[in-house]
Amino acid sequence: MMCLSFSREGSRVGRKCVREVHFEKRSMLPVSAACLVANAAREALGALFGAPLHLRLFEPVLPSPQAWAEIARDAMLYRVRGVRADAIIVVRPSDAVALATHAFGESECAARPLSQMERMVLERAVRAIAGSCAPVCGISNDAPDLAIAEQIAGFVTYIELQIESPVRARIGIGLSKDPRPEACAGVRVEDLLDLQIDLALRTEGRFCEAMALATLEPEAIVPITNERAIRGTLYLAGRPLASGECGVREGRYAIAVDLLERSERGPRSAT
Amino acid sequence: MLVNTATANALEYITERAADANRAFVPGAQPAFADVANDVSPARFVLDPMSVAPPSDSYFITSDERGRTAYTQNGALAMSNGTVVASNGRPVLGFGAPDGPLTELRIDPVDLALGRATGVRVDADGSVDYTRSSVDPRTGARENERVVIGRLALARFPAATKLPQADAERVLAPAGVIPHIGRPDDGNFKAVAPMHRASSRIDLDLSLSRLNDAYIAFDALQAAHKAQSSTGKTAMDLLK
Repeated sequence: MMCLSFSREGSRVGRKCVREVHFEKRSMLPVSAACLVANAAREALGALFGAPLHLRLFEPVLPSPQAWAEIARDAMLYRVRGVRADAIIVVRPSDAVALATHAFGESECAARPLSQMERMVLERAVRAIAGSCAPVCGISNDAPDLAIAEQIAGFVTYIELQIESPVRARIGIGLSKDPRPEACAGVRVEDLLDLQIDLALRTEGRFCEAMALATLEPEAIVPITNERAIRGTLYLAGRPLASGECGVREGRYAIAVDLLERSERGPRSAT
Repeated sequence: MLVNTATANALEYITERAADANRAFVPGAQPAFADVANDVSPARFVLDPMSVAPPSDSYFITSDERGRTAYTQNGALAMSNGTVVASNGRPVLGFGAPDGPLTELRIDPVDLALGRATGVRVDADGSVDYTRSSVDPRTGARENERVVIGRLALARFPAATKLPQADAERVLAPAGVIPHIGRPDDGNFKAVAPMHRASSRIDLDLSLSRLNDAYIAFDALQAAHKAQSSTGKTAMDLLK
């Protein structure tokens, strides 16, 4: 969804630093939902490694195609299918080595090919993380089917977990769907009650003598000779709103409404 | 056209003097002639977190247009596609890991692609870092963290080493001279000055005065040559 936002970097205009407004694409996945995933992953990985895990979360984003290419560069990709959306777990080579070697009590972070044993360990960790995606993907079972993917295609939203201890590694999670924003009333009817509305009044059935019209000039006063009260109709933006009798009340012109005009769309319910 | 050695030397001398005058405002520029050097003036404060002044006897390591390893005291650094570069757009070398080799300093490519890296700056110990925002999933609190991408490397040459110029801002290591390389504030090198820019070591007034002297000397040489050739012609005429 496009959202109005301020630029990250300000430009200096005279003695002021100005951050310009612009529209940017923003994920509609709530941070709270991503936090659920992160907390579940923390528990699952903590149980797997046998040590409490401390991790942080990078907010959901909608990467550009170039950013997806950078995310997937040389990374190990594991795809998992869910009811609501598919997920893809992204592990970069150095992070894969760090996670796999930590399970063996080693600390190594230089990127290298994993051994068969290390690959199995990594897959168990990824499987644990995939199970944590249930809140956003609808993955129901505890041991989801993992499929190794060659490339990232068709994914929209990206969140990333940064494990800070006992091992430093980053794990990315891509989602195939971004939640659709729900339309809701941004302005309540109650917020509009103090507005001053410009109404027009049109009166009908006025009579005057032809002589008065023939001698009409500025500052002339034209008497209205109706025997009945003058009816008028209130208009709002060119549409009739109500009609009634025009007159004077407590020294002010007024209209006593006796008929409300029906809207062509019918009555609207207050939202 | 034949140019005798004395004239060629005089022209070369003018060129070198003019080069000194041209570099009078280049940060950290060293004069080719000691007689136009000024006292070591303090670095100037600038509102640029990527500007940094090295210690007076130290250089940043970069490369020149021909790809040769070059050394500069111009700490007007910048980011180009996530890489720390010098004023000529060439990467500045540093240490990406505490025990790692000299390398280019780059922002994490994923952070760069996702626009997470903001507020890049250089600290007094030469660390180049940026701000990255993250969320604590247990509390939902957002927090900014400084991510260090590496430390700038500094090079120092033995005292009184004559450093050949690579271009206006950079010098080369003389053949057979290996500079001592380290990190700012590591005990061997002093700390760098963030948000400062080194001043030029060239006195503009003196360098212009010496350039004028060089032109006068050249004119005198030309006049002497003219007088000599005139005397020779007169002698030849007399002999005829």
